[in-house]
Amino acid sequence: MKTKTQKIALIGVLSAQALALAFLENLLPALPFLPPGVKLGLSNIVTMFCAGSLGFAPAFFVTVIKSLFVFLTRGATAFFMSLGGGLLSTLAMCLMVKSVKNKSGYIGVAVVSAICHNLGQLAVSIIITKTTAMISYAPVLLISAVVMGFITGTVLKFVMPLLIKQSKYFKCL
Amino acid sequence: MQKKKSGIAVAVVLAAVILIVVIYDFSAKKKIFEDTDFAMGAVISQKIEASGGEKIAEEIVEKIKDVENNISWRIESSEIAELNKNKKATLSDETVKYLKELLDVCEKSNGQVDLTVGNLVNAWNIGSENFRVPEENELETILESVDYKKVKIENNLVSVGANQSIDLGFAGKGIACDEAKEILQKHKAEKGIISVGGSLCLYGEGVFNVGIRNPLGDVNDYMAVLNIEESFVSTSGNYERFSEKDGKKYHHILSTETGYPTDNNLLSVTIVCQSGLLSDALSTACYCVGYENSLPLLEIYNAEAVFIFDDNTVKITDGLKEKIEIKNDGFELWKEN
Amino acid sequence: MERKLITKTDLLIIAAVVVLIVISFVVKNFSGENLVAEIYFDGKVIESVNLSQKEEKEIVTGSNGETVIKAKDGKIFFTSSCCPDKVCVKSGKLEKNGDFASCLPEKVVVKVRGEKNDNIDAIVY
Repeated sequence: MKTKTQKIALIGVLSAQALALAFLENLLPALPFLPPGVKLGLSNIVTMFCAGSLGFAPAFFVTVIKSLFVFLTRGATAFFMSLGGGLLSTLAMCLMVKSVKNKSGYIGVAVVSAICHNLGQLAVSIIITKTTAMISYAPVLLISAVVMGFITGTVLKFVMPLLIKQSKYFKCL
Repeated sequence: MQKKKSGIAVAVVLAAVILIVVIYDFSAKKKIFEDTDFAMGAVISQKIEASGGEKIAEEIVEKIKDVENNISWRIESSEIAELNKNKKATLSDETVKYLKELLDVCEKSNGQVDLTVGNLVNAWNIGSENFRVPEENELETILESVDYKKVKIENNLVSVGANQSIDLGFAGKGIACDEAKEILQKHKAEKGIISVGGSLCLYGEGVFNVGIRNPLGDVNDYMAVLNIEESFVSTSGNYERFSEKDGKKYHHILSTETGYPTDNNLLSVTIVCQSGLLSDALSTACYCVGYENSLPLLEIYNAEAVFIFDDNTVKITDGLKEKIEIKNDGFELWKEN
Repeated sequence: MERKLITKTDLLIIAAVVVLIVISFVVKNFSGENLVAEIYFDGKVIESVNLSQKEEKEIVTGSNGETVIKAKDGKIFFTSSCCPDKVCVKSGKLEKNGDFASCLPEKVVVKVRGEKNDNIDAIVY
């Protein structure tokens, strides 16, 4: 069946796809009515697929690779923000997949992970700036997490067959 | 069936969320840069709505300090200090411009405000540690030196009478407001509210709500609100700066007739007009000449005013009739029959 | 991993989050203002005190380092200063959004700031 090499290759490809989605998202023009810091989080699609179909280790691996990429392109502060948000949201995905099993749909997983992503980032920013002023920003982040979760969850549903096909190509599913 | 229900539920939740986002967006305050600084012996408070608001605020404070260094007689290296010392000096275009405009106000107010009050101000030193009540005959001698007509301007060469010294204290904050507006304009700021020791530069579109300080209350107490558009606002009042001796209060607005603090039935005069320099100078002038004599002066300069009297009545000029709300029951708008 | 796009559990989760969001807004708007007093020395904020949480603090600052500002019971005020006129001490206790007191000789300003919009933009004096 599958070999270790094939699995590594697949994770590499998925990481690259996550980076590509993050890059793509940066290319989109910032919508003027959105508060700063609110992002779509398209690369979550890849991590969610990993957590749901491949296992937790690959999900965390992709998350860390993505943060390292942020470190190389945007520096240390952005790295810690990305890592804090990423790890917390991946953890949430894994818990969702494991505990609620199939009771939760794509949107449910996406919303919860988006919320955790934003809360993780908020926590890191509080630690970095040593002030709690950002807390008043939490409601905005929650709202954006719900909206963005709807979008990424829906997108995941539609690209799922493609991602499965890709994994089968690497004989990982 | 199940599918349809959940579809509706999704739509409802989505709609609710979008609604909340929209409401939040509308209720969110716009990003405004606020700053507090010192210059001209006063607090400079700035609220600026613009990209790069911080830089603009810095530039304004710098500019105000420059103006102070040019026109304050207390600063030895200033142009006015040089003029006071040598009685003759070549001044910068800017300073000459201020002097000309202020001489015009002195003339129109028949010398009730006078920019040659330097010696008089110096004799009293009201509001400072060196305050004292000058002798009557001392004041008489000093008053002889107070006469704006002796100030001569030829191009940039300015000269004053032998014993004269100039004090632009009655217009300095207003001049600072003018300079602030110029900088806001230069940077295309959307909105700016600059307070130089209580004299205001209101810049930008829309209506500004300006509280007029309650002359009988403390600093944060306002007795009326003006709803006005882009303009300059300045108040002169007997509460602003004063010293006390033997239980008697001496406020800082000195009469050029008696040499003593102006003694009339006014508590404060607030001026609204389109020039900072004029708003500041006119507030002093109108305080000195009183209500009746102020009206022609205001007419000349196209300025509006709010007079607060010591019997707690308030008189306003026609241009402000629709734009004032009295907020303190202790004050009453005076109505003509 | 075959799952539905959205399930009842999801809706419950989302409903819970929406309720949380609404509550947080309500709390934010009705728990009274979050008033913060900022103390400036020479144009720079050197200290801020949360008045809503009735934080108690005594701040000593000023050009001569002898100006004392005290925060107590949600109010903040100058208690003493070495300036000649003591205008700062006479300014009284500051407790609402927009309140302001200053000691010019000592270059100290205290400003109270809230989140709600002030009903006035500035005071002319």
